[in-house]
Parts: sequence; structure tokens; C-alpha cells
Amino acid sequence: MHIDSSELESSSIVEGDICIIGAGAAGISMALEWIGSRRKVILLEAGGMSWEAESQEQYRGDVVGQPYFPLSAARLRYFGGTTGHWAGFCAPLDEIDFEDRDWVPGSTWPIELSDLHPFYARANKVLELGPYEYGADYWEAQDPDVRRLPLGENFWTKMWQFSPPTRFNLVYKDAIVKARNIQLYTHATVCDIQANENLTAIDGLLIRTLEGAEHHVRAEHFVMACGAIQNARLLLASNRQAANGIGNDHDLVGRHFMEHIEVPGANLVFEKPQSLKMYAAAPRVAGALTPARGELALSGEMERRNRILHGTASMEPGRWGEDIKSTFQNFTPEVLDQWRLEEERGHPRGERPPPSQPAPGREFRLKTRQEQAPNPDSRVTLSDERDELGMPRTKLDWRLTELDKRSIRRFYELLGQELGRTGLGRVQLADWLIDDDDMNWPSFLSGAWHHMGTTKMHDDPRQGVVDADCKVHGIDNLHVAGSATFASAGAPNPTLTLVALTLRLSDHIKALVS
Amino acid sequence: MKRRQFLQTSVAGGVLAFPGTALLTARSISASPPEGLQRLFGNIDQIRKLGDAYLSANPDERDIGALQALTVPAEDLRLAADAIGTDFASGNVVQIDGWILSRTEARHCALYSLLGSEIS
Repeated sequence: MHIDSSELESSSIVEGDICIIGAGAAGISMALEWIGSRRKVILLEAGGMSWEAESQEQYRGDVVGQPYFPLSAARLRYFGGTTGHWAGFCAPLDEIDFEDRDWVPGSTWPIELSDLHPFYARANKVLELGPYEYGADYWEAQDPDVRRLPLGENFWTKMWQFSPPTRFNLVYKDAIVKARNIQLYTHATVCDIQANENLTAIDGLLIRTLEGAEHHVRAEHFVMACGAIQNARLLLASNRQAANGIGNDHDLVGRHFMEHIEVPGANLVFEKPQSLKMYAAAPRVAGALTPARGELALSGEMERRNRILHGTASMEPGRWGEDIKSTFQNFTPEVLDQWRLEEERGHPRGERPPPSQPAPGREFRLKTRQEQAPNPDSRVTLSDERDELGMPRTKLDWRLTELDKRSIRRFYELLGQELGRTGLGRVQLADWLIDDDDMNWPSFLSGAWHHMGTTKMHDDPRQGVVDADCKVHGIDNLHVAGSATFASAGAPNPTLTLVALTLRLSDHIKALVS
Repeated sequence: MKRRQFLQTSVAGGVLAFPGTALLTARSISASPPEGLQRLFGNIDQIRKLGDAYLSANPDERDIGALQALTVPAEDLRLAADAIGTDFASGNVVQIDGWILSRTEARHCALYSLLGSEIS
């Protein structure tokens, strides 16, 4: 059932068993899990059923620290959330991401990769991906032209699959709206989380509409699924009962904001021309359900030995030129808007033209996709300015560390060594990586609109906001779904993992209420 | 290898000496551009440039005799390939102008650059 909150009588009280805040990839994935159950699920969406400028404006915020994409366009505020313009890159995290890496403080997860495997398989279906197969062997078996570079054991090929991409707004709207036990409220912005006297449980939520109405929500369990930036904003802004905000006894909410570092890293010249179909942009592999592609990754053993972060390098034909632009510069808010509009106007889903077999070439440009080290100084805080609903706006201070840059440089040094050893070719580091002592970042440094951390997962409340079950430490019935819970960012795009974690959380809450 | 790309000079009637190595008797000194890099870059200027950059970073090797003593002849392709492969396998690599090169091929570039300047 869909209810527009702006049509509710003022001071309405909405009651249910489970309340999910946010109808993006995480919130909708969770709601889908509850369709047909005996529980009444309230799904709150701050925006409408489609994009609205007035609603989107509430996401505007300040950017300090590293330059970043405008916050008003870095996420989408309507049913379906940011899946309205995502590109569909999906891959699971790797074993090394879950290891206790003493050279990456604060990166330890309280769970292991094996805990996520069953949920990754389910998430693959939610995101309309192919089989849960991310090994290069599998993809090589689908097409004789898809072959890994013959590198030694220090390097491997990490595979990505590509969602059509699933626009949750289009694909899951009917299922949610028609579900009898799901009540979707649009234009319902949560502005305050109200806890009990001892701050051990959440009693309810205050929601406001742009028309000035206020309503209250009561439920047994609350799940925050607004994205890493908005989750932190809401917890911090809910400071009437706790000065630092809800769940923030240890000053961790908003800290450890992480992005994926996407930046040109090197040029590669092969001895002989290479087609590299396996590494080409989203090739349609014959016989496969979805396109897939590989990127070069360093082995866990080499990352341990060199005490560096986890990342990969994509390969595209050509060389990096003088006029390099960041992802943020190439994909401006206007470009992203165009993607969204194409979908809304009926762009045929999943029918992108298949790329032809790449022409063999000798020169390729390598682009880094790397985790950033969890950094408590990289954070989301509240701005002094308030939005139209009275909520303090967001201030994002994205910060990187020496380890982030050193890891990129070392990766390409080792790749150059390996390509030389195998006689395949030579690698040339990008200018900004040449000087060992230079810790500056180039103007074309990008993130990937991947917002992670801010309520990261750890067993110890002094080191994480949520526990291994994604429950906020010290609060019995408040959970966080999504990439805000990531303890480390890993190399791959976060959507598959955030949906997998959400499905795992959903199972956990089902066990609690059964 | 093209003949015109093969540089040759001689140090007549004398000896080459540099600290820490044995004296080299006078002989014909020759250098060819490292075959692998020549194929890779397709031009010799790039090899000279890399040689100059290596010598700037390693001024103590700015000596033909010294460089010859430190490396295998570039024109002995098999020997050179083995030395380069061993360098890469053992991590004996240098970064010149961003390029990750084996120490041997970097010295070949330097030698080529030095000999080129002697005969020009």
C-alpha cells in the first residue's frame, strides 16, 4: 500500500511491527523480504515516487576536505534511491577485506566473508545478476576469447558482473505497493529519533512533510536504510535526549566515512598487441546471463607483505593524456540527471548494445579502484545551516591518508615488475605517483559516489557504532542496513555487499520477532 | 637491429678507470639500444631520454667503463634477456620517468645515451 504523507491528517500516528527508514537499495531489499509475512512493515521514503527538485534540495550540504561531488546530486531522494542512476557494477568483497590487518587500523570486521556467501547469492538475484560466480575460471569457460593475462601467482583477475542496472523504482514498485502488509509512506522525512528514558530502545520517530505537517511512527524494530551520509546525519541530529546524538556515546557516528579511490594510475605498453576481452568494459560474454569483466588485483599475500590496501586496476585502450578529468568532472550532475531521465522515458532495460570484440592494441591506461583506509578524521558532521524541515544540513569532510597513496604507487610498481618478469610489457606510473615523498593528490582524484562507514560495524562499542548483527550498540531495537556498516571498503562497488548485508539483517530481525 | 641504430666508439690507446672497479684495458666499446625497450617504444629518443634520466639519478654510474662493467652487453640478446628477467624476478628494478624497468635495461639505456653523446 502506498500512502502520500502529505495527504495525512496532521499529527497522525503510524504504527507497525518493523519500520524501515529509506526506500533505496537497502530499504527496498529488506521490505521485499517481508512481503507476505504476518508482520506489518512501514517503509518511509523522504522523497516521492519520482524525482522532485524540492525534495532533492534537502540533500544539499557542505563539502570540506577533499573536493567532492555536490551532495545534492551524489544521492537520489525518491523511491528507489540512488539506484535511479547507478551504473550496475557488482562484485563481492574478498577474503583479505575481512582479515585483521594491523597495518590498516580500524578495518576489522566482526564477521567473515563466508558469513556473507549465502546472502551474496540472494543479493545477486535482487540485483538481476547472473549466477553467483565471480571466479575468472567460470567466465573463461563461457567464451574461448575471454582469457586472463598470464601473470604469476602474485596477481589475479577479480571479476565484476553488471546489473542491467536494476532501477528499484521501476522493478520493485509494484511488488511493494501491492503488498498488503507493507505500508509505503512517501514524502515522510524522519527528522528525529525518539528513544526511551534510558536510551536503551527507540520509542518512535518524528516525521515531517514539506507542507509543514508532523507525524509520529511507532514500531517494535527500526531499521535505518538512508545511506551512509543520511544515516549519520539523522543520528547526529537526534540530539534532544543525547547531546552527541543517538548511538553516539563514543563519538563514532559519522566518522570513518569511506569512498573508493578512483584515479588514473599508470600506462601499460604490451610487447605484443592484446585484445583483452576479459578486461574490456562490460563485454557481453557469450552464454552468460550478464556482462562481466575483470580487473587486475594483487594477491592477499603480496598485500600483506607490502602492508598496503586492497585495490584493483581496470584496463582501457589508449594512454592517459594531458587533459585528465576526474569521474566527478566527467559525470556532472547534469550527466547523471540524463541517465535518470532516460530510464524514466522508457530506455530499454538491459538492452545496451553489446560491445564488439575489442581491437587488439599495445597501449592501455590503468585506472585504480581502491579502498581507502578507515580514517576517523574522514567524517560526516552537521552544518550550522538547516534545511526547510528544520534538519541541520550535512557537512562532509572526506580525508585520505599517506597509506592510501602509497598503496596505489606500490601496486603499480609491483605490476610493472610482474609484467617485466613475464615479458608481457612495461608499466609507466602516472606523474602524480612518481615522487615517493609527494603525498599530494591530483586534481583528477575521484570517489565513485560510494558512501561507506559512518556507523561502522565492530563488536566493541568503542570501535564501532553497530555490532555484527547491524544493531546499534546499546539500543535494543535500532539497526542499520547498508554500506554505512562497512568496517572496510574493499575494492568493489558496494551495492552487492550492502544488499547482502541487508538480507542478512532481515533474517536476523525475523528470528528476533518469531 | 638496424645498423644505424648501433652506436660504436672506441677509446684509443688508453685505459678506463673508475672507483671501485678493476681497470679495463682499451678495447672497442659498443652499445646497442636495449632490444626489448626499442621494440616497446619504437623510437630511440625515448631510450636516450631514459638513459639520461637514469644517469641523473645515478651520477656515480656516468662512466662508460663503469656501466660496461656493471652489466651484460645489450647486443648479446640472450644474455641480456636473462639478466633482465633475473632483475624483474628478484625485484632489482628502477623507476625512471615513471617506467618500471630492470636495472640492466636501465643501464643499457644509460650506456646507449653516453655513447651517443661521445660520438655526436
